[in-house]
Amino acid sequence: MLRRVLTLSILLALVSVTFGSARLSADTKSVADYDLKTLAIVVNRDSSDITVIDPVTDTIIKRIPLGEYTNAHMAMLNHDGKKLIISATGRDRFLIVDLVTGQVDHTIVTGKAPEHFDATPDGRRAFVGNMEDSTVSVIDVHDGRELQRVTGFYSPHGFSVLPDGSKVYVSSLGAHEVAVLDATSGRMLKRLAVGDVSRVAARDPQRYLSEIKGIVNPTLTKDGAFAYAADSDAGVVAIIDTKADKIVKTLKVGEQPWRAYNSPDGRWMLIPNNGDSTVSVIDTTSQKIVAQLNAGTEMTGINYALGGSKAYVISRGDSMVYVYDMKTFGLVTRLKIGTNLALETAATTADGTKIYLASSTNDSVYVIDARTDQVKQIADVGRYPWGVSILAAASPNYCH
Amino acid sequence: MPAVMRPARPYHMGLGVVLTLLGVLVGGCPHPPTHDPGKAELLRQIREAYLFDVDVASLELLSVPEIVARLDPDTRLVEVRRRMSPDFIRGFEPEGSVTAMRALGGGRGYLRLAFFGRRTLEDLRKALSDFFPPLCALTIDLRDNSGGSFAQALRLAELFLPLGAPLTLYEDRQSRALLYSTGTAAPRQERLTLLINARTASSAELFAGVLRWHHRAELVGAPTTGKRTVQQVVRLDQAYLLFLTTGRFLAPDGSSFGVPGLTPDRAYEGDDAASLMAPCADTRPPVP
Repeated sequence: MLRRVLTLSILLALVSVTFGSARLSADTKSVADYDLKTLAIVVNRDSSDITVIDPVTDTIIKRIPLGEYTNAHMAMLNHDGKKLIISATGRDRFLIVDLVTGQVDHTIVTGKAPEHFDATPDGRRAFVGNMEDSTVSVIDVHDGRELQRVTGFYSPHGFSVLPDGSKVYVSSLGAHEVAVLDATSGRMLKRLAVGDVSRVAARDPQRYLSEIKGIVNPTLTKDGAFAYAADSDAGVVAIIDTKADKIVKTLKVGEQPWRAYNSPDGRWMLIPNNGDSTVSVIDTTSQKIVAQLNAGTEMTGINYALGGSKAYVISRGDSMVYVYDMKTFGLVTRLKIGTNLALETAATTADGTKIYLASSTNDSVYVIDARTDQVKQIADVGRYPWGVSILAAASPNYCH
Repeated sequence: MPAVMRPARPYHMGLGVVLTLLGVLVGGCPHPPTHDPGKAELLRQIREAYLFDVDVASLELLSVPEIVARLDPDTRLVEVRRRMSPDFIRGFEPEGSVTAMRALGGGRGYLRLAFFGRRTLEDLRKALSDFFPPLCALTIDLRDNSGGSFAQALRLAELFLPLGAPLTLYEDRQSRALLYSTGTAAPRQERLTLLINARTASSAELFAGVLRWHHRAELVGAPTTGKRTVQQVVRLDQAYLLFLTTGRFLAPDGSSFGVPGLTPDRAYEGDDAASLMAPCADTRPPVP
């Protein structure tokens, strides 16, 4: 009996070594062995960590802990793909993390509740919006310190740095305005009022209307010549000339527009209107609305794929992705991802063939193959995945 | 007349300092110039958009709350909500303006509108689409509805009126404009009963008033509040929104929708919505 047990134990040990070796083999491939710019970076809000996914095999290759209750909101790779820059909303910090080693290089104190940010093209500076104290922290990414904290915003939500790195556009969600900052000095250059004020006829406005829903994001055209700012309350998109810093056109779109998403070729801006479940299509050459598409509810993002020939509109309310042909603006299909899922944001791979979509409430990322529109699930990526980014994405990255 | 957040630009501060120094040199100034951008914005809004005539110079030495207290009772400061959920900030959280709905049998339906929010039109459309079979008679309960979005009230009225129907004569500081229905869909055909009471106000009165003016709805209940002013919402500073009276609405012919408020076509107190309208088998839907 004892001999049998021993034999079994030896066998089990051998089997375990065999499988262990295989796993070890996979583990020995360092993150440095991958093309960093093509990796999918998933930010997990509740597990306070980052998950790195290999887009070739759709496997998780690394988890990077960021510290308890950091509750990161947005993460992206810096210009060379070596450093992750992250807003740690839960701890009022901005983090700079080495992607290969997973070490936190710098922890920088910011204002309250930092969420969205953008960085200069050289990766030297980042501008992060502190939602709860309505300030903007200017971060020296190289030295890992806050250079200044700019005041005068109202829930600064969206950031876009010009391609030449000279100016940054900041939209306030708590007001109907876009501010222009000098990216070098951090000085406020201009404030642009967008849309007409909303009108109310109410005996007790404090019950339901004690907030403003302003501008989610100033989205730049591909050449940076114009910024498109959608104002939720006003139901308009203002087109800002970034040379003169003035509004050159205001277009009426649908109800409660979310924000503009520019196509990879720079030709289109798509604006989901959550108030009436439509998507407005703006031709950036003529600066006119050329189509209004029926879409889903609670739209949280738009990704382009296959060279911009298809657009994927994420509907959190329907747990669905609406797919449009960008030549005809026809609906190609609707991808039912699941039931009662909270679909968040997504990133398109560098070759434009796949989309990685975060689904917060079931801790998953869904991979959409744009060629076949087949969907597969990567489970257990972390708790409450909030967003995905890919540095070399074939469709502009975004957050919400 | 856009509301612009005027920045506290550096040269303003410099000018302020110079003026203060001049004031001191000239013989002392009991009220040094203010650098409160919220107050400056308030005064600018009053000058440019306030519906009523007011001596702005007499307000300049007062604090923001004191100024607001001197204006009409519908102008007020409202504290900005803090600690909003991320979903609410981003507009994903349902507003829930339709707080009750039920089928009453005989093709009749009932729903309650608690307020006019940003998504009330969509909420109402969705609620109506949930009735099966489709309704031919509808009671909308506006009791205790104190109003809300001015635009949404008009959009809701458009649901039941044909394209081009006059909705309201809107009057602001500088002009009067007759607003027309721009709804392109065919108007809904349900026979309408609107329940009102003494706490039905503002946008709810506009919605009810427009539909009655077009003989499109019967008003049942008790006389309404009679608030016909419209406020524009301006971000004054980090803490407060200003609701400033900048307009008022009248019936399309320039008369008031009711003095002081709307009077019901039929008095009613109770909660038996089914008793308010006959089943559809007995009547035909009205032709608008």
